[in-house]
Amino acid sequence: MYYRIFLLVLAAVVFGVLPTGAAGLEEHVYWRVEEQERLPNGCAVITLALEIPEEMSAVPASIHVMLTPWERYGGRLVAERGKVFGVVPPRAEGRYRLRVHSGAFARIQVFGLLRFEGKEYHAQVSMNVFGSAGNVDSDGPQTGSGPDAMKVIRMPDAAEVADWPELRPADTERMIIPQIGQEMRFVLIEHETGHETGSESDAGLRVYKPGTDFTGTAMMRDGVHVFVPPHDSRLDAGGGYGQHADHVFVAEVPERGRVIALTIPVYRAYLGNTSYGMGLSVLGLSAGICWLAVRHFRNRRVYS
Amino acid sequence: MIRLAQLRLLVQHLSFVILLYGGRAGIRLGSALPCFACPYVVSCGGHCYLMGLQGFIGFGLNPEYFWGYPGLRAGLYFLLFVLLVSLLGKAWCGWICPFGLVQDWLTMLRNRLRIRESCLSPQWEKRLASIKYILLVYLCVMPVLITARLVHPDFCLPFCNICPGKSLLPLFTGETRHLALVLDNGVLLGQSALLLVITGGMLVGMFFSRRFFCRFCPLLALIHLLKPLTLFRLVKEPRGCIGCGTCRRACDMGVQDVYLEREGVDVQTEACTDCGACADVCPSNKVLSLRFAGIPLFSSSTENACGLKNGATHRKTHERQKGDGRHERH
Repeated sequence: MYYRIFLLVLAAVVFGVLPTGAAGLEEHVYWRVEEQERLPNGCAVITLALEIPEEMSAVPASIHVMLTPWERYGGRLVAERGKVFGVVPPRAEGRYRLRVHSGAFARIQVFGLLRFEGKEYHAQVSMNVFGSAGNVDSDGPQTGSGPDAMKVIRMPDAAEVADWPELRPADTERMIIPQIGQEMRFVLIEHETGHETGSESDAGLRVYKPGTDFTGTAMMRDGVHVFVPPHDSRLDAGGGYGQHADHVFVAEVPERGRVIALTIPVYRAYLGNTSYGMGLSVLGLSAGICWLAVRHFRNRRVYS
Repeated sequence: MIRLAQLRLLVQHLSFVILLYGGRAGIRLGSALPCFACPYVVSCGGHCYLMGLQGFIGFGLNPEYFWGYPGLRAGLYFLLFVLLVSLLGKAWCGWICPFGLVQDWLTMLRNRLRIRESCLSPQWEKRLASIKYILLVYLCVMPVLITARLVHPDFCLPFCNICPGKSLLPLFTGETRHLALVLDNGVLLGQSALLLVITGGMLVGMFFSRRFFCRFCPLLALIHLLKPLTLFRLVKEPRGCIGCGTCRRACDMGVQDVYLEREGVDVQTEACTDCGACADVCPSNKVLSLRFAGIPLFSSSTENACGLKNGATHRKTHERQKGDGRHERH
């Protein structure tokens, strides 16, 4: 008996949590941004996967896509709420896979909902795609081909998804390409009550990066959740265009039994990890050496 | 009457304001300008073509892009660049380039401080002339290698990443971020360090020698490759030349050929920037002229050459340059 208790306590110390079944599930229902590509016809395509823990593998998910083209009004980019489509993506290996494409500069939001053991697990993603074909396809998110084919259900009035809670960037025009080192501001809106987070009693956002041991907390400031993604050396070392790491922001509403996980792909910042001191030192050193070299050679006969 | 040098300075300042601050007034002159209108200046009124060239050149390895809309756009930009070059030729360098004006400001500062100029010997001028072609090949080859995934993608825009225009021109709009070392990875660290080393060296070089950076500018080399198409030319009528050498001393680029040419008419060398300084100081009537499609826009004359008569020109110009601190050691 004591031996078992000792083993349990040891496991708690080593693993940090007690192995209690469904606990901790809130951090495991999220969208993963897998690919971003540009088709020759100018359409931008993203591929998403809804990660589901094994405990929920039998639970059906309700998934909606909102595609909102950015428009320019008086020099400002504005994205109102766009069309909403219900989708039934294919499911394989315990995850839903979804392809969304756009022929224009548009914001894509994907909402997923799983109900499990009396709790609601909302998985959301908000990101921008940069299609250059000049139009948003009238069919919105298209059916893919082959194994990626999915059924699109038109929902012009978005009746079902309208009441879902929405965790989204507070100022979307500043979050077109979220980067490492950039201040991000989030707000949780519960549409059925019109409530927005902002009171000091609201719980903060937990932030983690899937596949890593990174966790953080978004601080509450001026009524919004504020978070600055720290420098990520692995992202920088990988290099390349469009290099990004998914950051998952998790908000809990205990009184409604809701967990909302928003996935934001955070891109590497090319000028996010710099040193002015070292740069000015190199500049000064170079100029100084060149100055001395010129002074040295000016005292010689170099022109005849 | 306004002198050619004064007119040129006026045009240079106007273009500097338009190309560096024009964006704030909604001016967009496109991405095919044959001068250093640096895209790293947030408020720039147009973009240097070299950035577009580096971006587009990788399309050659991607048939879908090459034969698609991106390829068409790249082709149209190239045609626009050729059109702009054929209209003004190297006058883009001598009259419009904002980075050229920055170099001229440093020369003015040196003259004001009465510091003697350092000149390169003609032999060194010839040796260094090949560097601009090496840079041109470098900026054309690297994007192809990136597209072929043979080099790290952070080598994108290979020339921009070592161009001193990137670090210096944004300073005029308060942008200092390109003076910092980028510590992300080895490629960016190396490129940013190289940029700052080159910037430091160029600052000193541009201070001590007129138009020092232009000797290495790949855009000048690219424009020179399109020389047969250009309508704007510097032309010499050798018969009237008295061989005073004033043109050679007036040349910011240290061009010898205008002075040495005794038979031909074409004196448009690869280093010439069509600034017209030689024609401005030439004391002989109609020996040197700037022409557009064969029509003389400006010709040398005894009146234009500082208002001096032929016999006194050589000595007076020599003394003027000595007073300006531009005298060479003989």
